[in-house]
Amino acid sequence: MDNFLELISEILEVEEVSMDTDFRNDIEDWDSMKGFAIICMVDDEYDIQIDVPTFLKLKTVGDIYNKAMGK
Amino acid sequence: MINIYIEEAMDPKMKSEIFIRWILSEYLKVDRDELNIKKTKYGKPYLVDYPYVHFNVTHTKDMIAGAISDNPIGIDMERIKPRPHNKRIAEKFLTKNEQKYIFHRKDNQDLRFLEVWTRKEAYVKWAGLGMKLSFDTFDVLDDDRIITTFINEYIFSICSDCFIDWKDDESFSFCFNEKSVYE
Ligand SMILES: CC(C)(COP(=O)(O)OP(=O)(O)OC[C@H]1O[C@@H](n2cnc3c(N)ncnc32)[C@H](O)[C@@H]1OP(=O)(O)O)[C@@H](O)C(=O)NCCC(=O)NCCS
Repeated sequence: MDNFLELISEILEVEEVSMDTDFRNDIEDWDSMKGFAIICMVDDEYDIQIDVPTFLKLKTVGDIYNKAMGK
Repeated sequence: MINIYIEEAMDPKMKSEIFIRWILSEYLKVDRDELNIKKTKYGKPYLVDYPYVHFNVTHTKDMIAGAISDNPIGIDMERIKPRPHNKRIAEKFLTKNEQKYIFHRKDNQDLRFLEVWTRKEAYVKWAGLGMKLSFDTFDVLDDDRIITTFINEYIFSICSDCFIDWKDDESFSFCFNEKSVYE
């Protein structure tokens, strides 16, 4: 889980994130390119493919984590 | 004719509606509070009472830019900086032709990536569909409705039905705001 949070904070260019971080609203510099980078990271690291419509429904970092865990 | 407004902003995400109201009230010469702005189901803001006035907005952490035109329009801006994930994003979401264009040479790959990326975003914002339009289903390299330019450390693309020529003063009006619109 720590590794996941580290990968996410690297993409979001912030010191740290938590499972509760609402990435679209809490991350000042959020933009759709960061969303695409997260989709790629989850594919490469967890071998889970999230399509764009599904990603658009995710709200928190915890939601992304659950998808990456195949839940 | 396209009017472009660019402004440095402290917290653009919060203030994009204020910015939109400001530029539209300048353009239409009406009170900003009188403007009735709504969003389509895909999120594109529009003016309820002026169906022939089109606008679009884009923001980064410290800049906000808007474009107004009498034709549908989409604008996107990115800060020019290294993009460590560009290769993967390009492989997964861009067309083969676009990938070839970005990576065929070693130099300036980040810049060419941002050029293609902002053109994609400007296109989907012009179409009004946002992310409902899958990025790998259209190619933006030879689409002459889209133009790209640089201002300081920012890259901009605009997609419009108007014929646009950056060198022709008649097609453009630029407004760099020196005084904050939020005051
Ligand atoms: C249109 C969109 C694609 C642009 O996103 P972006 O590059 O991150 O942001 P920009 O700063 O360039 O543009 C945002 C502005 O575009 C406008 N916009 C929103 N939806 C739009 C649409 N369908 N068409 C045209 N313009 C739109 C809004 O004015 C918005 O400003 P606001 O958020 O302050 O209201 C975006 O609104 C979107 O769909 N975001 C989803 C974010 C996301 O989770 N992406 C992950 C995809 S994997």
